[in-house]
Amino acid sequence: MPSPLVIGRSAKAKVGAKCSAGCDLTGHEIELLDGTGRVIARGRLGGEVLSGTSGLHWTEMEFVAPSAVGAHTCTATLVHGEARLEFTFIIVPPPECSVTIQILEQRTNTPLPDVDVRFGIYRASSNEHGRANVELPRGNYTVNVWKMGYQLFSTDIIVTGNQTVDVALVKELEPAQPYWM
Amino acid sequence: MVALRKLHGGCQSHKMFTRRTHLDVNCSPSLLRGSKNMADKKQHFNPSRRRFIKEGAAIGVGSTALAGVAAQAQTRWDRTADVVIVGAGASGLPAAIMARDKGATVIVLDANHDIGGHAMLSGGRVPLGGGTSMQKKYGIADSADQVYLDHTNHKNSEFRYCDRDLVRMWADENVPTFEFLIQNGVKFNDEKPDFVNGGTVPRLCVAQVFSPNLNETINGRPGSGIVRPLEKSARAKGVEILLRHRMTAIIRENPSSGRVLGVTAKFENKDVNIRARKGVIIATGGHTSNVAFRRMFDPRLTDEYQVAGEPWTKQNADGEMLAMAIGASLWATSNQSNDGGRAVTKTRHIGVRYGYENLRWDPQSPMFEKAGGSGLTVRSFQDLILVNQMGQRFWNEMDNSYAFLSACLGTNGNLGRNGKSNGGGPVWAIFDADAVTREQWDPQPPNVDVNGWFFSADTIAELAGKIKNPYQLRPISADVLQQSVNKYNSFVDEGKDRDFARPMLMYKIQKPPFYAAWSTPILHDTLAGLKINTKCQVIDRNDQAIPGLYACGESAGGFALHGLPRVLVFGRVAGREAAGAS
Repeated sequence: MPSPLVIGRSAKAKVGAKCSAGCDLTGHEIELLDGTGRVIARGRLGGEVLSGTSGLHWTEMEFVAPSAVGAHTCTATLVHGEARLEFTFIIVPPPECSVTIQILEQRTNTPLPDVDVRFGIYRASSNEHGRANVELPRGNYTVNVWKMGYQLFSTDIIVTGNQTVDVALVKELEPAQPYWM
Repeated sequence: MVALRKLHGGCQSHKMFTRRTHLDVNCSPSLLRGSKNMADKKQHFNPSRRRFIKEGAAIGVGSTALAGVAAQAQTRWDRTADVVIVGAGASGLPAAIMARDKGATVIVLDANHDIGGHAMLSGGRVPLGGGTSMQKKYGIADSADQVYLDHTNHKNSEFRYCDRDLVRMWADENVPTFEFLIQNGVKFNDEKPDFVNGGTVPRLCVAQVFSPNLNETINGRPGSGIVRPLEKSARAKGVEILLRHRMTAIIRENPSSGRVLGVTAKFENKDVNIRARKGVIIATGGHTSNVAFRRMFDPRLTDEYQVAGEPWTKQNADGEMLAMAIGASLWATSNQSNDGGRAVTKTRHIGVRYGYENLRWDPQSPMFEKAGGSGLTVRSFQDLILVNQMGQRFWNEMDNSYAFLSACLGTNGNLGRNGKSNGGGPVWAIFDADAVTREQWDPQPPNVDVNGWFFSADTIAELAGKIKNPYQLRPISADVLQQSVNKYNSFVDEGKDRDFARPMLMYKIQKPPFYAAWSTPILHDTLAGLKINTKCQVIDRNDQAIPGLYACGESAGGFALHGLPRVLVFGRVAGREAAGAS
């Protein structure tokens, strides 16, 4: 389930279900309800079990993101039975700017892929060229750039238009045996 | 992906938790090899030993009742040596060699089937200074005075409550102990010493792993490079080492007065009386594994907490309890709960019981069957949440301070109505398939122990129902665990942890399968123990030395320094002083 979602735009969620008694849930109907209980999407569980699970049937459901900006809680229900699950996402206004973050490894000056970038609630990951793109409204943002094994890079940025931000990540040095002597 | 579980009333069954049956580890024949025996041979055998024990003063904690006993005219000694040392670890072995160097005959006992104690599994890190040969080689200036000052800094809670007379003696003995180790075969990496423990001078040297043979090193750790060479040297010099001999009594002339004459040990269910002409040295490794004993210092440390070094050895307080039974005092007890040392530590290898952060059990280790698994090494706690016995988050998972550990040891939703209110209860790491990918984990045996310490399921609700463990007093509610995950996921959406102010929230927990891995804190250091003076003589409750009784290592109190530098020095000093006793 991605987050944030842009107000009024189409969005997708994957929903899965499993029967504790081992029933085959293929074809069983799933509903998505918004915060008011209104059904915003319907779907049927597929016949294929999700990879890595022992019996979780799933489907992808498309719906229109709610029309109010802010945090939303939706509910997925399995019509045949009592299963229900709440999940959350954030609705944001349409983006105004595109910010590209170019991430390099500081020592080697080479692009770093798979780096997680957070502009407040907006998120992206860098591609094989070390570039991540975030589309967002103008405003003040706290930016966190992090990849496992590297020190967190954190800064505040005022976004006024399309722009590029260069970030150099420093490898985290982990002592081999910090405690046990 | 969000995952639901369809509910079927009465149709769900749980596989009952079954405790793994462990096999005993066989002793390698090479570890039982004969030695040149300089200690005196058996003199008498006492068939009325059981009655004899009953007549002595006794104190019992744990599974074995331990007794301090008064010697009587009919005491028959099975063995005799000048110095009898209890414990063949990083303190007992230096004590044995030093006593032997001073001309004493020496017998060393150990309850385990092999030597080494938990030092065998240590990092082999020896920060001794004051001007060691390694420091001089790399042009590092140091002095005993500077060592003393660095280890008595009042700003450091690990040193603040220590006995400074002991620290001074320790500082003065740093150099001779370091050279003693080298003279007795310990090989250190030839690298410039490093800074450690807040010291102002580089002092840290690291021992080389003894050999590639896991039957010798047990888990391939550098600590083997300390204890195996010392064992070799001790045996070559004529020290006799009696394995599988667990001390059950210290024999004193009178229950709380007179000289200590020897010890009784249990070997193959038989009592063996061993006379010590000059002294008995307690080097039994501390008390952390003894739940009743450790709770004297911190009532929170109930049964659920494992100990670094287990299951190889247990720090079971035998030495402390038997010495207390004949009148010994404890010393500097606040050191055990100073919230600064490593009495309690955050686990890092999750999904197994013994996940101490610097000890990952090798599947090829002869102890692996008992260890149960290697653990999933957490590279970043961003990849999981930690929940308590109720299934609720309770603290910022990224925190590595004692505030985190105190939260783990808190009430954690237990209202105390069940008579089990003191421990913090199990802590479980909850994560998803995406975390497994990011961490590059393989979440199956031998990396995890599925016999009560690691669970997986297709939904969070199913996962909650699967968590069964001897210390999980009641099932985790599926709703509570689901709510914990939902709430955390909503915080990730917002980029803000409204409950515990975790500084950065990166990933939702949302892709099946889901996992629960044992992440309960691990106890480590014994930092308080028997009261000793600068000769390592054990002091009684009237502040008098108990003639013929010495203590060193983690069983001795007064100095809360972590690890090998403390225990090696005090061991060597105890051996020297006991051998020199009249």
